Amino acid sequence: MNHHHESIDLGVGLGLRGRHVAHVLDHRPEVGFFELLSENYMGTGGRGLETVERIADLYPTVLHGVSLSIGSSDPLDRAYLAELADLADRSGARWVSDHLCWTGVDGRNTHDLLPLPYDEPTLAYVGDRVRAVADILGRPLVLENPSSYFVAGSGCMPEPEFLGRLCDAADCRLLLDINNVYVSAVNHGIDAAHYIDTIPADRVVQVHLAGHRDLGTHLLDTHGDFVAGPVWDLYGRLLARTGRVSTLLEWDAEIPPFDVVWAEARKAVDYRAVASPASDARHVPAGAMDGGRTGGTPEAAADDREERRHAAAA
Amino acid sequence: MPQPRERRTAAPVAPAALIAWQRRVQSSLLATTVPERPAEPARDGSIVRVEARAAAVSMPDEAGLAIYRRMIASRFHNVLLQAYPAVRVALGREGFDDAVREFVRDCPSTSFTLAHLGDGFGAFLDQRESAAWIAELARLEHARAACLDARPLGAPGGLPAAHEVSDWLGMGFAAPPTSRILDLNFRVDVWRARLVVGDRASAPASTRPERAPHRLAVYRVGGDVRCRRLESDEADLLVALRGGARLGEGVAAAMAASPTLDSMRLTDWLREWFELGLLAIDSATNHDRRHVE
Repeated sequence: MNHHHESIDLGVGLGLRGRHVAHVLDHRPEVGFFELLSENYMGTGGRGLETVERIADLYPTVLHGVSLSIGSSDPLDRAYLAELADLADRSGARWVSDHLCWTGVDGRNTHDLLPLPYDEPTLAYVGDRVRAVADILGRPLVLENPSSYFVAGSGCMPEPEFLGRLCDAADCRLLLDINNVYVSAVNHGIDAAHYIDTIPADRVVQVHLAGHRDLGTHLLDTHGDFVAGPVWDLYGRLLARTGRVSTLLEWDAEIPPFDVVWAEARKAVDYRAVASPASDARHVPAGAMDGGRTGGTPEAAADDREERRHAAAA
Repeated sequence: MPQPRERRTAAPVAPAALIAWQRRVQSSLLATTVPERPAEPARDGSIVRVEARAAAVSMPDEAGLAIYRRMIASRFHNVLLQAYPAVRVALGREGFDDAVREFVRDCPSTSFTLAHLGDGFGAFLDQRESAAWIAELARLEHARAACLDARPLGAPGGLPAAHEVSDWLGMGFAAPPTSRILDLNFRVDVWRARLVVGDRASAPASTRPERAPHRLAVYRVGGDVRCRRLESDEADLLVALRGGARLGEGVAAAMAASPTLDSMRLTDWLREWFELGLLAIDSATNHDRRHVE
């Protein structure tokens, strides 16, 4: 493995939502990057692709999917992956992420992110699939920890250990959803701080922040509210380990006006201000996460971002 | 369609315990019965390994399963509600909810995208509903969404350069993906337009659209979708041309069916079809023709 290290911190970003697109294109806010929901631009015959290209001309983008189903016992969906690879090329996405989960089996799709049993056979199987997906996409895969409402299997390893071993075995990266950590921790009675302390920090390339709802019996990951205090605390705790890392606010339900969402996301700036630069704390091989756009040098990556800033200001 | 570009060929092998566990969990979540799958070649050619002594993975607790069950049902319901708002009004709240439950049970999603979840809803309602117009309403709503989703061939253009219909007789045409022609027995477009434009509360679900067999052109204009009822002879010719008939063939058939058709009327039709995006030049067979600006 190449141990030349590169900062790939894209700053603070937002998930691109349809109701905000016109505002973004008209006002060009200083958002660090936009995350595009992959499936919104796939299998629709082209709806929204023009939007993708316009946004990608102005901002760094990353792709985030919900249907990879990396843990399903069904074979990988080659057509889906081919279309995803094409979208990644079109959008110039810096990386492609999805969830450590399964969404269906026997050709069916529940369209939900279902947890996996964190046992040895599953670890080996998912590791093989992660490598296969990275081959098809032509770039490393980034996986997100899911929120969960049941524990799959018994006597399995803790999620951070599973993620760490998966990253080592399959050379993948992590999108750590802090809200998911908190929701799952409360639902399953585990220590969220310990989770943050044991996650492989050097593999984290992106963070998700989001809101949840307390339903009394459990926390529900709604993406429909402001980020809760304990989640911000965990975010600060993570940054102490990772340094500044690309951070994104997800707001998918009851979406307020852009300025409200962006103001919430910008709270992350204060946490990042007291964190060390990413390159001091995190280790990612050079060129691994630039989507093949920059040739893999930090300088080129910076130039590319700068060009986008100039374009945004034009 | 983009082609896969992986280098490796060996397909990962799923543990038998994981296969069995995922089937049981999915069966519980979707409340359907999925037969056990024996050891067999997987779709990608790999062999699914079945380990007779593989440790079983225990089923999750029912409370957790129930949360997922509710989320899945709610998500499917919301997707279909977004896709078929007029059908929801036509069926009423309870009727729509029942139809959705039966539909997702009988026609589970097999697509990676929820955008296709409701593709078969019209056909499902056709079998289920005694009121045939409701299935037609679903087909109309689906066609509208399909027109919006489709990638345009380009901006609607003018007529190909020519002075007379006779100049175009050898031309081939194509159906722009941003348009559909529907065979309908009821004026569901009028019913739906009243629903959308007017006061939703004043459009009781008990009203029925007028019965009038016709063909309806559904087409996208910018970010909007519009409908136009086609006259019978106009529809015959348009459908033939969209299906690949050369203009000469189509006109001959149209003239045989309607001897009063004249070239002026044909020219007007062609001009309008091009302007509305109901017809496009088939560039594969007419690559050397120019468009009138």
